[in-house]
Amino acid sequence: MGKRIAVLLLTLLVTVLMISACTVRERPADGNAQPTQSQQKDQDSQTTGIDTSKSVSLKMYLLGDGAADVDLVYGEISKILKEKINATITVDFLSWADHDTRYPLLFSSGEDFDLIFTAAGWGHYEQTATKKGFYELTEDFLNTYAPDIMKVVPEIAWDQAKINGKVYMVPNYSIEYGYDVIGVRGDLMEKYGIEKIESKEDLEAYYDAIVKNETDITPLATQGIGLQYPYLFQSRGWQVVRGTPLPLILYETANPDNTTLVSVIETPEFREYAHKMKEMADKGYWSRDSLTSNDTRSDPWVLGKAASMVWNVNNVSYYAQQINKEHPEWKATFVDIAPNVKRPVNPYTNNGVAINAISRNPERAMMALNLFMTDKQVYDLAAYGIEGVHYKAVGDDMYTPLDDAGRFPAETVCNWGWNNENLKRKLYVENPDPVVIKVQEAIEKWKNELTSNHPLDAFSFTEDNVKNEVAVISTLTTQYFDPICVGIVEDVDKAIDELIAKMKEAGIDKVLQEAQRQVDQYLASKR
Amino acid sequence: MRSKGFLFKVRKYRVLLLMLTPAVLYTLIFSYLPMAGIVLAFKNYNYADGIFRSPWSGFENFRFFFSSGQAFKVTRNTILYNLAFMLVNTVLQLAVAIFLSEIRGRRFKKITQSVMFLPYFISWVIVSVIAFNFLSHDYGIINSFLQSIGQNKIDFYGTPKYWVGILIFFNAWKAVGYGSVIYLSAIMGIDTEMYESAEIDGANIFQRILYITIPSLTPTIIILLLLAVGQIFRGNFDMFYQLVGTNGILFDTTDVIDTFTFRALIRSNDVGMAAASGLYQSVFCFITIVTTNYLVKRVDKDYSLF
Repeated sequence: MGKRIAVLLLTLLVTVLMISACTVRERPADGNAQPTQSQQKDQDSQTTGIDTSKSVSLKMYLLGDGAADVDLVYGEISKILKEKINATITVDFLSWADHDTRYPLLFSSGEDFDLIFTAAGWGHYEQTATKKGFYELTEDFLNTYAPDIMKVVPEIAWDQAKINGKVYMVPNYSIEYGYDVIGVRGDLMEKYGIEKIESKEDLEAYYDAIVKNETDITPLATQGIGLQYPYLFQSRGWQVVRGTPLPLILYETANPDNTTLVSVIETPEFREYAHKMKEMADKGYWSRDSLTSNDTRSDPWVLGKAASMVWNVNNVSYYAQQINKEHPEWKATFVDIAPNVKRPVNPYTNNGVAINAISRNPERAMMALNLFMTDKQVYDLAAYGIEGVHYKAVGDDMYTPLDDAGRFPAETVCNWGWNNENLKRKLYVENPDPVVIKVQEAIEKWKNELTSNHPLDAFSFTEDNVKNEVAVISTLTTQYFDPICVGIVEDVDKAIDELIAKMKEAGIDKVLQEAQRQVDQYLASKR
Repeated sequence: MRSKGFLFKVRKYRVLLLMLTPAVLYTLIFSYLPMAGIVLAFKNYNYADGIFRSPWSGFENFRFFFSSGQAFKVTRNTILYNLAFMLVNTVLQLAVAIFLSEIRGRRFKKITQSVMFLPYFISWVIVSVIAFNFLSHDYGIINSFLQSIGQNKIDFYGTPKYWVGILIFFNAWKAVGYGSVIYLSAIMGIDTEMYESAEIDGANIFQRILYITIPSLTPTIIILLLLAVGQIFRGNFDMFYQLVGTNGILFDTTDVIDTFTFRALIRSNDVGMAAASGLYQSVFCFITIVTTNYLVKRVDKDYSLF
């Protein structure tokens, strides 16, 4: 009998625990701004603005590893927010290493916070929005609580942020390029008499000279897969459709009239690229262990094991400066192997901020974000730290880092979510690294002459309807696609045929059709 | 009256019950409570509706696993690896335990045992680095050695067939020391009188091992094997993921259910689909263990788990 009672007690305990666990997670049925709409109408009639008599404290999650003086800087920001909107703010960081797991956990565990960094494509935006984790930002809501943001963020940015027709993030306003350039060693170019690298052939001549003559340094060490974007896509004016699973579905960004999507693995260009990669791998351009190595993208170049690094222009310039500081004799610089091909501007949704669906104070959070993005004082603090401590302002639009800059490095403490091109300061140094000037010139040229203007540059695919297919394709990519891209398969043609067969079986055609359907729908809504 | 009987028993066994409590709570919190989450496998989960109110989606979440054409392969790999681990580990652990028990020198015995035990504490992350330094094509110890004696290098990270052996080796390396302790303690529990009388009857050391030690260990072996069978559909994610990583070339012989699911869902973070894959493993583990236990029971009732 005792046994039965014990079982009963246990069952009771389980039930109680389960019920309590559920109630903690209670969320509004829809992450929607319904209640505020009626409220908002009242406010429209009174022109005086919004009631902020109640003091609130906001919490914001950012990505990255923070900096030593974060609390100090955000303390200063809180003072301004307190004065202007009667709110204080604290920040917490999700580190690069584990944000992939912690980000969704914040939402499934019902954590109490208000604002969070997000980004389409790489920063959990689509996934969290479709799972109703974010607060919907209606136009009324934005106009009421963030009127200044509405003046800054361009119309097209809101289109880019739409998931099933609704906006869940405030996109940043900055003009960035995701286009990959190739960081190279000036000293090695001089040594082997290579004057310029402006095409694939030039680059291969440089690589060949290194493989033949150098013993301790290879062209790419473990990062051969980096050539994928410049070789296969960007040099042909192709662009991967945003939000599609991995680099498999593309459109022609250089040709705005062509809106047909293509599955890259079935193109003859892919075959050509695959053979090229095999040839490079066999020549020893990179290690046969490339897929297993734990090197980061920049390690080999910075440590002098690789003669080059492929990455977007900002990162290449960052590491080039680092190299030139430590080894000025290496003369690190960068080259573009397709200098005349048009390239798209990163979507504005590449960085942004969203409001948590269960935030207690979405209105105040929105008002705070409004200040972060458009108030010069707050913007400077979050981006550059405290004036006189971390940086020195040079005029209105330049800055010089001070000795303590390492405690709050400029533009690295995840202020990107509210980037504002109008308020950004430029780095001012007496004798700048030539790389810095080269980057500025390059970007100027891209902006003026080489920016593609394809309607699909703003499009983003949502995988909801084909998520099973996408899951399988993700895993098959690692298994069959990546080995081809680093050229370690024995028989390239056979490997490609197998890849195509497996992808078809996994439903790549269905994903392609779904993507095309969304594209057509998107284009129709634009007309 | 009955409740008095219950309370009386609680009082009587209070020390034992107290000792049992942590284990019961642990199982309750980490095994029984989360079982309610199984519903997720049949739901289209979203944050707003939570676990219990998200809309139902039938068997939709299972589709990614079976439509990939990979389900058979990864399930086969998982089972075969686990069988191989069970076999190799048990044989090695038994051998080590018997050797250790026959060794006379106390100091040597302790040192050997400690050294064999150590790998158990090394995390798979570290093991993967050690493995890489042995097996790497460019700098690996093995290939540097082969090169120095004029042999051709072996491309370990490009050749799937080597990995069956490599994985079994590293698994055994890590598990043998730990497992042998269990067998060693079982050997210590064997009545020494049996050995003495066997010795008097003229049995040599091999006969003593074969006819006394191994039969006495059979119940322990069977229980440990039964427990291992219960995990046969679960791949040791840490090991496979750390040693093989995202090196697709090797997947034909190294992809297990857990690594496959991880790769499929790391982008979308779809808990429903992850739950589906977990449920698939659990159901088959359950069937296997009940069947095996039934078979064991038919042979000898005393050896079965329940």
